Amino acid sequence: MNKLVGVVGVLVVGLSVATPSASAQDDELSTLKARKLASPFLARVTWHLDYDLALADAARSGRLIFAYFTRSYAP
Amino acid sequence: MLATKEFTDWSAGYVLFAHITTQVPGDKHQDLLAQKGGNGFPHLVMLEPSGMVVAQLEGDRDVAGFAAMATKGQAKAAEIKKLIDAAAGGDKAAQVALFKVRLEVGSFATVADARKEFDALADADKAALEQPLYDFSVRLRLGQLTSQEDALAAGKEFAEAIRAGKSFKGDTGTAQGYWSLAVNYAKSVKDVVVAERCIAAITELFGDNENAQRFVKQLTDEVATWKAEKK
Repeated sequence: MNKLVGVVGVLVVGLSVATPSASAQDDELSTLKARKLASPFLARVTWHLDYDLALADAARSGRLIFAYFTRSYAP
Repeated sequence: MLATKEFTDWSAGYVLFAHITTQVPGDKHQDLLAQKGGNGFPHLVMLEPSGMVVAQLEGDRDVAGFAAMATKGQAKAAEIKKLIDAAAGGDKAAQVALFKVRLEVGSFATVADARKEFDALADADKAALEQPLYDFSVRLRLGQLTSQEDALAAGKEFAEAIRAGKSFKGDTGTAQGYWSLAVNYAKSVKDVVVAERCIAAITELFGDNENAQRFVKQLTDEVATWKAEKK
């Protein structure tokens, strides 16, 4: 019985090390997002990061939107 | 380039929008890239004020390339504005033309949204819009692939349409993805009919390209093997 508990215990620890929890993955994604938001290009001039606000600004000003699509979850 | 003074000076006449696909749960508009016709990063387009794509970057990723894109975008935006105004005034032909443009320029977030408006059209108008609606559904499907398994599932959907006599008829970039996934599925189940239709389409679209010629030759040989196995 003690041996079985030991084996199960090792498996549980092993799985928790091998498989990051969903919240750990989300934390990593949030960290990567924060890093991307600190990109120099975003600081030089005013960028909308919110699509709906960009549309509202374009509708108000009559200007076209220059839209740049990028990602933070991978290089 | 986007952090340069040259870009800062040029961009003053435009609304700047940076969309970051983060995959963080809860973040808004995570499918926006696919909606706006993109399937890779970076993706640069001009949008008119209601969100329709009016130009895509075709040249270099520099101010000259951006300026050329913006010029094209201004012209397309002016065309769209005329259609919007005419459609709002009750012009039926303009309403149909505007729906077609909206399918092409990423105005619908989902196929269901587009189909809802499509279903409200007169039957005579629907006939001319079936193909643009299908092309739109393919672009969106390709832009939202999540895994290899999903790619195979998409290939199966495309293969079923191809069997039924329907296929993608839009831009060559999307066509490459469409026919590739259909071929992958056809190979996985040794579907001779679909494979032969893919061969015909790829030859017609990309027959001048040496890589495509090699690909077609290989696939043709494979299909011959499948046929021999079935005898």
